[in-house]
Amino acid sequence: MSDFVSRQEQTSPAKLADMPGDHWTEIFLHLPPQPHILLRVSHVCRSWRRLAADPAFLRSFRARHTNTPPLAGVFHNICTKDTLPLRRGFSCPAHWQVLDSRQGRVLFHAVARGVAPSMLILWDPLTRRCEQIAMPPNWAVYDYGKLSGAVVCMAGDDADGRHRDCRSGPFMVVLMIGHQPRALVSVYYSSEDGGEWNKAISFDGLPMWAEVVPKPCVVIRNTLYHATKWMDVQIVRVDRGRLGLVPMTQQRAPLPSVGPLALDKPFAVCPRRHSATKKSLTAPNVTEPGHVTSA
Amino acid sequence: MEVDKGKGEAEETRKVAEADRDTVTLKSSDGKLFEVSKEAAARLSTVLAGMIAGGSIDDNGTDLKQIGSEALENVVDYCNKHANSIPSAALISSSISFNTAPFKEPEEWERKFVDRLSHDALFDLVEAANFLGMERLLDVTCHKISEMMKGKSPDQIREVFNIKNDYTKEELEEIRQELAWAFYDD
Repeated sequence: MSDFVSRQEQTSPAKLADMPGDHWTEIFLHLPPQPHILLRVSHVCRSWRRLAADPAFLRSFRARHTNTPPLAGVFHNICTKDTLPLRRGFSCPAHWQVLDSRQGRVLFHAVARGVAPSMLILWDPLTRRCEQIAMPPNWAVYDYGKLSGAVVCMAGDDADGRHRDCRSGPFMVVLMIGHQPRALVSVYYSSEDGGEWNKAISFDGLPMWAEVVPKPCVVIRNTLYHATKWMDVQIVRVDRGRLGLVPMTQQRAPLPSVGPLALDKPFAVCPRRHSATKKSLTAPNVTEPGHVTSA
Repeated sequence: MEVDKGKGEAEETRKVAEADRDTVTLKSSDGKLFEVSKEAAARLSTVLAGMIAGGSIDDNGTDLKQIGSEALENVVDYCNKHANSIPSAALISSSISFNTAPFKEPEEWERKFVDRLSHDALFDLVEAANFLGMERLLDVTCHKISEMMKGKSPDQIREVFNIKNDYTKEELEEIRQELAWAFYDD
């Protein structure tokens, strides 16, 4: 019996020498998606590190675990608590401010007043690739307004309803600039040949106390919840052509997780699937007088 | 399930019987014979399905030189158990290689089936399943092995799988510093 137990606990060396890398790769595919588990595996020996870092394996691993990349941490401008060490070699200039980090991308706002035009910088922490995005064309008018932004993956779901790879897919940047009483929302769509600022809407009813603050936004399906000071604003993406902006009627209304939204007008609740979205979403009050006007 | 085929069996009688048989006989590398339901073999193994369809099944026992008797016994045992359980559509698939579909958790009997195996038997079964193109069995065995790594430090993983640490001390220290957060408790 003791012999049996010891065999259960350890693999014999001969058996391991026989195991081709393909089998280990197959086994690693079954590991849970948390990033630290693959890191531990690659710490075991050189050949495992090679297998676990293989791009083809990582693609299969992500495809199998689907969805968005697991959250390993967030980027923030000011950290008062212990922070995790970034991979060696990355430090960002002091004039870069973190606007958002989401789905494997980090969005910075580089402000060097009087030195260089301000711009947005999109950074992929895994590949360390930086992409510069010029500010929207009508940005200068609001130069001294407060700004918040979000980078949102637009990779969509595949036929099985699983989210496609975020990092290699298209994305959009939603920028909200506030200078009471006006708020301006601009949306940048990425594309193969560079991407462009596509649509902008302005909103003239921003109360004096509703200050735009550079806080992270919440994205639920195709609605983006922006927190201004004392008030939440919803930005709804209907399709590539249209946007809606709705201030929440209650001050500091709790963010709805499911069910209809508490708004003063009936408003479409976005269903889960992208295919269904187009059918059941009616255009929100994009041109509703007094609420939102197209810029 | 081991079958001892009598040598005196008349050739003619056997051939007639084979035509109607609903089982196939498989021969391990060490010459032992195992019988398994033709239907289950064809359904669970793409390789056996191909052999059955192509008529390359040997009535005296199809030679599977790459598979030892212990592993083949487990394969046959798995096929029989599978035949007795209610098959669900998700488990039947014909594609091998990198499977990117979401993994369906092992069923209770599958869990019990792999739990009783020793490490070596489990690894042998991975190879056998891979060789025979038995996707579900490969999934279940690989899943079991991956579970052995859960919640373990690199040191503990090395111990379980008897793996030699071939990093230098400096390299290890470098990785540890870079990825300190990955080595804390789950």
